[in-house]
Amino acid sequence: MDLRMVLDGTHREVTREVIEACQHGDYDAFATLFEAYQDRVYSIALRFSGERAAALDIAQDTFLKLLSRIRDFRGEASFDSWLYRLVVNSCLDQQRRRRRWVPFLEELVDVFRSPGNTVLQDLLRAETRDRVQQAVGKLPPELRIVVVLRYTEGLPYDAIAGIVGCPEGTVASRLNRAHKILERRLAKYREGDHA
Amino acid sequence: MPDLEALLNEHLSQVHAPRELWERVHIPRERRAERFSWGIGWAAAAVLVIGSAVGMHAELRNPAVRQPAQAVRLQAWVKASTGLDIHGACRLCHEGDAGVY
Repeated sequence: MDLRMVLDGTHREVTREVIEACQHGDYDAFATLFEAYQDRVYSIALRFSGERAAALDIAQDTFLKLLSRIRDFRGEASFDSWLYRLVVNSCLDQQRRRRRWVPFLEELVDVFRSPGNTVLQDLLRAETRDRVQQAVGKLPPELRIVVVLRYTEGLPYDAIAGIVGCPEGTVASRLNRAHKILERRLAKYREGDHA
Repeated sequence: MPDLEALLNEHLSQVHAPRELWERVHIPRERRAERFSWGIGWAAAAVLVIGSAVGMHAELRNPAVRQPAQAVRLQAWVKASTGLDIHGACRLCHEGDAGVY
């Protein structure tokens, strides 16, 4: 059976077949899963970490975990939710590893970064993206992961709650807190642009 | 900033994973497989060496092997020619094995 062909069919059925094959050690099935989910996994990792190198580490870690733990997947929840949980855990693990020394380096970089010297008018959009990413990157991890799942993946509150493992109300309040922080941080940057 | 959600949707959208990711996921797996086969090889070699050592030890503890007929004849010849008994000459090496002789 060509799993890549099947992947173009109904996503739910395809996933089940591919997952079962992967659980039985079919490496082609793993490659198919990788192909299907690589952009999602990498995007979450990139939006969470804000750095390409860190995102690659997180995504690699996620897929290696997927490969080693897929036999544990029983199909009680959707595969997407199971995989999202792996990504979220990898993101938070990476955050814990970096926590010890990265904030110090970031502060050091901020000292040498003068406002405006990176702004080129014809790259305004890219600059805005960087600022948004930077603002998101400075959110506490528990707020950041909710923002990423919401805006990168477009997931509803209940799905985010299932992935993060907290009540829906907590997701709403975290998003609300994140919005307030981001509004403040991005407003400050905007004022800087107009100055 | 009323358009915050739009801004986040626009700038936090999905991106394509770089090709490098597949190489990073695929290659460690190959390395693991390589290590795995090397592991089997080393284990097999260790079993072979230990097996040989045990077999040789058992063989060497056999008095018939330690005192071949030629050695017995040599002892007899030395004793007959010189009057020296070299029967216990190896006892320093085989201290504790005295009962065998």
